[in-house]
Amino acid sequence: MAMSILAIAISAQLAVFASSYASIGRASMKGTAVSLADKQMESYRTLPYSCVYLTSASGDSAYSGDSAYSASQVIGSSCSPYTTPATSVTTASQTVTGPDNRSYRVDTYIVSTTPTGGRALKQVTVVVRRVANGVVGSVLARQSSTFDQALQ
Amino acid sequence: MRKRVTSVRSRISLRLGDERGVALVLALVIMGVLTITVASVATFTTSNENHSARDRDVARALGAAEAGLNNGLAVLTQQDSTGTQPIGATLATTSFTIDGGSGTYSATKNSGLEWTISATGTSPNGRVTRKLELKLDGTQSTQSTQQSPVYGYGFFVNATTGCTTIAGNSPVQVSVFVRNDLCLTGNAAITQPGITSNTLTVYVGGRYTATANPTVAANTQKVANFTAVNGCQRQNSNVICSTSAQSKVYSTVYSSTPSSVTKPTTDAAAVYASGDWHNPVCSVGSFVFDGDTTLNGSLGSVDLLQSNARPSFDCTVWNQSGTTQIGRLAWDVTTKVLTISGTILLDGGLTFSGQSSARYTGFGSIYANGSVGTSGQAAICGPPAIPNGSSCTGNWDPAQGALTIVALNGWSMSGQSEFNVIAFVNGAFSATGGAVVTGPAIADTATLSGNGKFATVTTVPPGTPGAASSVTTTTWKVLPGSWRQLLTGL
Repeated sequence: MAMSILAIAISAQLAVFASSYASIGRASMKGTAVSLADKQMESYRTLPYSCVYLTSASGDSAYSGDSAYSASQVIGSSCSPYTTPATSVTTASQTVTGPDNRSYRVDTYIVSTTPTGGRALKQVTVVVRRVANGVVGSVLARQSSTFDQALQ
Repeated sequence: MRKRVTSVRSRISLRLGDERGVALVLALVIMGVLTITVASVATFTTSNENHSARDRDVARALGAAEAGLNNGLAVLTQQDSTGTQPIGATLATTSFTIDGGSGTYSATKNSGLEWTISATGTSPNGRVTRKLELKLDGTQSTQSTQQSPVYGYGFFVNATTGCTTIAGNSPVQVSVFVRNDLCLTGNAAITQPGITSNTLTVYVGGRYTATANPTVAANTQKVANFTAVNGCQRQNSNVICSTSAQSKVYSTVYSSTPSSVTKPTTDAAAVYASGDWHNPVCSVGSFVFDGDTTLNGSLGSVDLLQSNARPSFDCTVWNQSGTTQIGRLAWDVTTKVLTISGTILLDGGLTFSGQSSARYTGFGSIYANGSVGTSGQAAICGPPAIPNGSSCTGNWDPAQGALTIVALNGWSMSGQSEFNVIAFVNGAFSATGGAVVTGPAIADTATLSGNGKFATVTTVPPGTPGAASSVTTTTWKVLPGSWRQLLTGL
C-alpha cells in the first residue's frame, strides 16, 4: 500500500519536474531572445538615420513568411559622411549565439512608413527565432519601433 | 494498584515496540512533503513563465511608445516646419498600430522653438502600457542669396555663339553684357546718357564687330569699362580695341578678361507647382490663369487688356493647400490700372493688342508660358508714369512699383509701344520700330533695331528669376536629456 502511494507520488513529481524543467528552459530562451532583440534594436538607436538600412532584403521562407516582411525594404550600402554601420545591423537574417550558448536566429525588417501629415520614417522590426539542430523554430521574441531623422 | 500501573506500562511498551503500519505513515508524510515540493516548483515555474512573458510585453510596449514619439517627430517637423506655430499650439492625440501593438501620440508647443511630445505604447495583449515623453528643439538659420548681377546691365544676352545685333539710329544708353559677339551696324551706338562719363560697362564675351559707322561712347564721354574677350573688328578688319581712333571705342579701361556671369535660370514647373492656378479666388469678375491642371500652354495666347476693354477683375492665386497667397492680379477697366503682387503664371503666351494702355501698381512678376508680343500701340507704364497713347508720360521709378514679365518662349515687339517692365526672356528678344522696353532686357539672344531705351533696376520684384532671396530653415532635433519614461501603474 505504502509503496503504491510512494510510487504514484514520485511518478507525479517526476512528471511535474520534467514539465517544469522544460518550462523553465522555454522561459529562459524567451528571456534570452528578448535580450537579443533589445540589443539589436538598441544598435539602431545608436545609428544616424541614413545608416538604418539592410544590405539585402532576401531570406529563407521563415524570413519572408513573417508579417513584418515587405518586398520593398530599405536597402543601402553606405551612409556617407557617416561610417558604414556594422554588418550585424545591416544583415537581414543572422544566426547568433546567446549568452546561454544556444543558437538564435535574429531577423530584421526595415521598411519606410509615413504617418499621416508627417515625413517618412523607418520602421524596424526585430524577430528572434529558436534554432534547434539547424532548424529554425518558432518566434521567441519580437520588437518593433520607428526612427525619425530628428533623432540624430 | 502497583500491579495495574505495571500492566499499563507494559502495554504501552508493547505498542511502542510494534512497528507494523509505520511504512504507511512514512509514505503519507513523504507524499505530503513531495506535494509541497511539487506545488512550490509549479508555482516557481508559473511565476517564471509569467515574468518572462511580461518582459516581452514590456519590451514591445516600450517599442510601441518609442514609435509613437517618432511618429510625433515626423508629423511635427512637417506641420511646424517653419517654427511659426504659436506657443500653446497642440498636436491632437493620434492613434497608431505597430506590429500588433498600439499606441497614441500628442504634442504641445512650450516655447517658440520647443515642443513636448508624449506617447503611449501598449503590448499586443494589452497587459502592459508604457508612456514616454521627450522635447523637440528647433534651431533656425537664414540663407540669403543676392540678386543676380545681370540686372546691373540694362541689356544682357546669354548666348555664347552667334552675334547680338544692334542697329537703328537711337543709341543704347545702358550697360551692355553679351556673352557672344556684339555686332553694331549702321549708325548704332552705345553712349553715356546725358552729360555723364564713366558710368557704363560694355562686356562682349566674343568679338566686337562694327560695320558702317557705329561707335561706343565718345572721346569726351567715355564708358567706364569695355571688354571684348576676342578683340575688336571694324569694317571687316581687326583693330586694337584700345586704339580708339581705329576701333571707335572710347573707354577709360579696356579688358579682355572673360566674365562668369550668366543669365539666371527659370523654373516654370516649380512656379506652376507653387499655386493652384486653375482655381483662383476672385473678389471682382473672373480671370483664367490656367485652362486645365497641367502646364501645357492651355490658354494659347492671352490678350491681357483686350485693347482696354477687358472687364474688371481682382483675382488671387493661393498655394495648393490654400494657406499662402502666391500672387494677385487685378484690372480696373474704369481707371485703367493693373495691380500686381507676388508671382502670377499664365499657361499661355501674352499679347497686348491694339491700343492697350495701362499703368500698373505693385511689385510682382508675370510668367507667360509662351511668347510675349505686341504689334499695336500698347503702353504699360510703371509708377509714377501714366500712359499717353503708345508711350508713357513721366519716368518710371522702379522703387515705387516694378513688374517683371517672364517670357518662357521668346519676346517680339514691333510697332509703337512702351513697356516700363523688366523683360526676362527664354529664347529670342526682338524689338523693332518704335517699340521699347525701358527696364532691363535679359534674353538668350537679341536683336535691336529700334530704340534701345533700357535702364537698370536696383531691386527686381519678387518672383523674378535671380531675385534676391532669404530662406529661413528650421531644423528640429531631440533635446538631449529630455527623453523620460512616465509612471503608468503596471
